[in-house]
Amino acid sequence: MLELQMREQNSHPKPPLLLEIKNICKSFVSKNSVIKAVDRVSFNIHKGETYALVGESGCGKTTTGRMILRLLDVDKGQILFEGIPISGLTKRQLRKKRHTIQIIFQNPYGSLNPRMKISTLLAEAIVSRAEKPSHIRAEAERLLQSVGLGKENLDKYPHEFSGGQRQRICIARAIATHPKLIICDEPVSALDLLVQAQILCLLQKLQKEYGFSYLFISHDLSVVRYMSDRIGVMYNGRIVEEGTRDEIFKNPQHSYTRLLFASLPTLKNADAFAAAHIQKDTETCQKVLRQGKEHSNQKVEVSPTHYLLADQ
Amino acid sequence: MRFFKKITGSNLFYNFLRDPMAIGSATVLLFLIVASFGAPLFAPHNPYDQTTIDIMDAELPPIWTGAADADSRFLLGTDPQGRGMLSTMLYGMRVSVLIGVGAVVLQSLIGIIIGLIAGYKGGRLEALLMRLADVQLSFSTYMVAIFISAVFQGIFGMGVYSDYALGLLILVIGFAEWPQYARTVRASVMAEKNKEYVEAARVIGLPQWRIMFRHILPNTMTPVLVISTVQVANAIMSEAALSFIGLGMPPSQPSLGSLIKSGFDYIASGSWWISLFPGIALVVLILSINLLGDWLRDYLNPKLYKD
Repeated sequence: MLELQMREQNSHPKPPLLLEIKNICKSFVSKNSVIKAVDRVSFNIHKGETYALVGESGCGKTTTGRMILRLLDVDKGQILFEGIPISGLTKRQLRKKRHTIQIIFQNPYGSLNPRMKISTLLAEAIVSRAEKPSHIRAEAERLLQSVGLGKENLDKYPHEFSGGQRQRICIARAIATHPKLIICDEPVSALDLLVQAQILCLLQKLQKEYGFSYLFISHDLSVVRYMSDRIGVMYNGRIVEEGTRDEIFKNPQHSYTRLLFASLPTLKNADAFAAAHIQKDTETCQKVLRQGKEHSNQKVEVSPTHYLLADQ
Repeated sequence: MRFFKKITGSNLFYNFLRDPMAIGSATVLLFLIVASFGAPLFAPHNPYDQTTIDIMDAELPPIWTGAADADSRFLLGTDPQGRGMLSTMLYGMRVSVLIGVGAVVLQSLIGIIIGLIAGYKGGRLEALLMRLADVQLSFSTYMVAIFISAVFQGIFGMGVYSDYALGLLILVIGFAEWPQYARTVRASVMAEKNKEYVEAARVIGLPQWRIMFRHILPNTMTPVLVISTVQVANAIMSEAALSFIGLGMPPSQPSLGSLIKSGFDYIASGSWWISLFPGIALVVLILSINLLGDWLRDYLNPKLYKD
């Protein structure tokens, strides 16, 4: 009996795929150079899962998120959402589909229209659902309450709120459309630590309640550790290592991943912060950058869920 | 009542009360506007009413000059047609202000829509619209206005022109200056459209027109408000200048500009008051609008340093 239960748990079927990203590329052309922001990136997100993209600023995390939202078009490759390629949608079809993917921005001060009341902001999102509720205002009140704000805030303007409260409103707006995927683009990095913890708890609570998936974009490893199921480490436009949270945190293989961990100043290692191995990993990473400027395409599998790109 | 409270409680009102220049110019402007739009109530007589005008009263001097022919009915004297200067000026100012405000409403309507579309859509459409604005700006306002008024007068004759002069002037001055608005709005739209709240609106799937008019436009209104004050003053000046060269309001419905012109022929013969009083009224009107506009600009954009 016990054995059967265990076997059932082991053969626990993976939830269905929500988002498939296949080899997408994006370059930005400026006057005298071409910058490869995203280069042959592939990953999948399952239903109800949190996938984290980690990496330094400018490594292409945000660009990837914007391409999934189709705020940017891909140069090459394909993004499938529920099996449908999003680059194939016409403008009209896209507008009808928009509500299924939402975003929470980094800067809570820029992401709410300063001239609109909270009730209007939420109502706009609510009516974009596939099935409109009959009482929009009641629905807006319910949404505000589910992110921990009172309904008396409905008739206020964004400037009357603090950063953390604004981020809660952004979250309420994102879940108002009943999305299946929410892209969190560094949602807590503009907030102080205590508020960060509250927002992260809220995000987890809402995920349990509604069952949507997160694409969590961040450079903060402690936040990622708390939130994610699987992690992709991005460096210079490529995913250099991907694995489950435990695999990445316990057994980082790629030199860049190790560098990321080593540069995390914790209370314990603060004194030895400039330790020698940081130096070594930095040199390895820079060497990869200098030589050929690209990683090979060769994947080295550590486990079925864990791979890294081989350094050349 | 709630609206009134909102205004008196606002920062704008607080700042206004602490700026004597703003209070002064607002008071003068308010006085002029009430006096001109309330002209049928305040004016001693109606210059549009032919029966009250007597040609024998023409060119009477102001009463305080002590001249033998000064008439107590006409405080500021009379014009060459025997209309009291005070009454005619009040009615004339009403025409001037109407043309100024009307032209600015038209300018801003055309300019805001074109600027918004150009700034939001970008690409070829933007290039086309902004070159169109450049072409429009390269014709001076007066040139366009003179051309159109002269053609209209030539085709339909002076009689028809007199009937439609007010509307025509609003149309001409309004149309000539829309690029000012288009440029200002385009620049602000380009700054606003990359902000995250616009992307959030796109991600929700709102239609483009709604993003443009409900989300971006309200956030570009500050500079529009500031240039509007200057533009009203400019439009009144343009109208005065056109009237002065005889292509503006006809003498039967005088504006401040056409009053100045009608007196200009008589200055040499000693009737200085016909041109002087409308001239002073025009200067005071323009000055108070401009000073109020300056204050508004300083208030809305504190980054600009005052000298």
